[in-house]
Amino acid sequence: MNVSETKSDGLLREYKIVITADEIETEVTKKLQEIAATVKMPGFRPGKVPLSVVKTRFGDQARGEAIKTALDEGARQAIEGNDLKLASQPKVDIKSYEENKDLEASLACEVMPAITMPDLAKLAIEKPRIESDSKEIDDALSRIADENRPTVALAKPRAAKLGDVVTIDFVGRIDGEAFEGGAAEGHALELGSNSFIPGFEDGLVGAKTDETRDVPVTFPEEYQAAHLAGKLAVFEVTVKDIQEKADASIDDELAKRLGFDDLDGLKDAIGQQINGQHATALRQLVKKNVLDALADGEAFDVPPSLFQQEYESVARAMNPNASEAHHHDHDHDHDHDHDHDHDHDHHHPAADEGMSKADKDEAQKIATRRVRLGLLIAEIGRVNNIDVTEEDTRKAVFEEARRYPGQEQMVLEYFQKNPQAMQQIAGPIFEDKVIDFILEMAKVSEVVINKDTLYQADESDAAPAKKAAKKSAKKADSKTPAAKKAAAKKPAAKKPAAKKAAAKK
Amino acid sequence: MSIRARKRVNIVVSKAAAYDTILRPIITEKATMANENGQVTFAVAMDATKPEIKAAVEMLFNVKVTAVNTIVQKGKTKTFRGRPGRRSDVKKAMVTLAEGQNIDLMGV
Repeated sequence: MNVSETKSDGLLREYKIVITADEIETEVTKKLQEIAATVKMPGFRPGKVPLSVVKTRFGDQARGEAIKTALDEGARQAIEGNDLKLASQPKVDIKSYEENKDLEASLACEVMPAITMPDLAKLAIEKPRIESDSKEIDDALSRIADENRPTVALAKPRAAKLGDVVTIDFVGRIDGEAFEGGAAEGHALELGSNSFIPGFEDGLVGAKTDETRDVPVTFPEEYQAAHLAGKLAVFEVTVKDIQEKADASIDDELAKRLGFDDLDGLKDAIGQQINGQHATALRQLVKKNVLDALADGEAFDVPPSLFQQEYESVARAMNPNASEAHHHDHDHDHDHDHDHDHDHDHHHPAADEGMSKADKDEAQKIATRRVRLGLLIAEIGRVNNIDVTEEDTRKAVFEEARRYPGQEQMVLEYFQKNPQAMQQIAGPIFEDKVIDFILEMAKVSEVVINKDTLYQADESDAAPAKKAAKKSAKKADSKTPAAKKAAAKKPAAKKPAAKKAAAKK
Repeated sequence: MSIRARKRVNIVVSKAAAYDTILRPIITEKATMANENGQVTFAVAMDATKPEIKAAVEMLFNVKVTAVNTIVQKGKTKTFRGRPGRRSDVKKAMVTLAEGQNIDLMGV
């Protein structure tokens, strides 16, 4: 067997493998002997079949297998002999073969770039921190207080005005006929809260206790009950009681009404909620800083196949002309952290079709960076023996399950049945661990930033970093899945909702 | 039975008749061993005679046959669904070829 290099261009390597006829022949005989020992043929006792008979019967099959083994062996020699770290599946082509002649094959592959490990200790990383801001808590507190003002009886009787809470009985009639859902007794209505159809609340301004009024109201055209929409109704309203809103007061009383022991308890809860929000965003930012720092390091060549793969997904994400069939979000420019391995399954015509040159360049830059970071992270993880333990995975799975309240069982089952999904989840964990590791090693300087910059930064480029762990997949062959995307997106998307939740408590 | 000299007759068989005479090669451990001594084994028609077999083999495989031995192997009695039955008999012919000649049975 003879292996010789024919091409070495950047990260591309090509080898010529020559296997002599003799080698094939011995391999074939070996195979035949194996077969002879086990095969069952009529007319022969097992293991007593003469080689000649076996050969006429299984010769071709044995030859095929022999060649395959020889080629595998050749490829292995080529790879191990030259100490290659492959970045892609090697392509082996048989160039020429005839019986009793030497076999010639070529092997083409891409190798991993030589990654010079950046000196982690020298990396300077800014770790943003947010001073716990008592003002923020106070803001939230006053907002809560405002929304939860107690109502008190009027000190002295007066007419109702906007902002008051009136207790009313009412009966609504259309053309003198009472209609369904148009009547209630003892209903507490805050004037100006716009919880009733427009005009109703206004009609009660100025009413006195025990006064009965007819309020003519026209249902809006787009009212949800079709038979009422657009109709004119007259509500006969009796005002039973008028209460006014007390001033917003921040005190133990408020906390108690919201289910806390005292004001400090409430403050703690708010503080925690806010910190929780910030923590995710901060983590995101640190990660970005780490990746930035890594990316600034030495540039190495990127294996073309990985790059191509990445480029396609980036291009597709950026390119509105490309197929939208995939579940890509276009809310952020390049926030596409899910891996697009599947792109290979069904190819679309050029992902960058119709893109301007600048856009293409941009996509190329992003793709290069992502692949490079991915490789780098994988390498750092490998060198430093960072591994995703089973426990980590399990924790992540439970975390994931918790995101689907009520369906936890199903989610858990899904992961149990799909080792692949499990691996997908391992990707981000690996990335996180590596980041943690880097943070430990590197020079970390804390920087205090304020809330606004945090979220601004978060929104503008939480994304490019994402991809990183994906090719750490080398190990787990995981995709960086939707789970990850969700994790990344969540802080941004959830924020307004979360705040509201805090306020509601 | 009195002993009388047999008349040598040159039997000529047509190709079709030859194919009807020689049914199939017999490939077993024993036959393979015999093959190493220049003997090939065939299943032949029940009514085939040695001279016919010789002529047929010589014609079909283009070889020189020095001797033909035959045997009628009786079919085994087998019981099938409680009823006794009998497999058909087979006439086997061990054909000795002239020195140095061989037939590739697998190719037949």
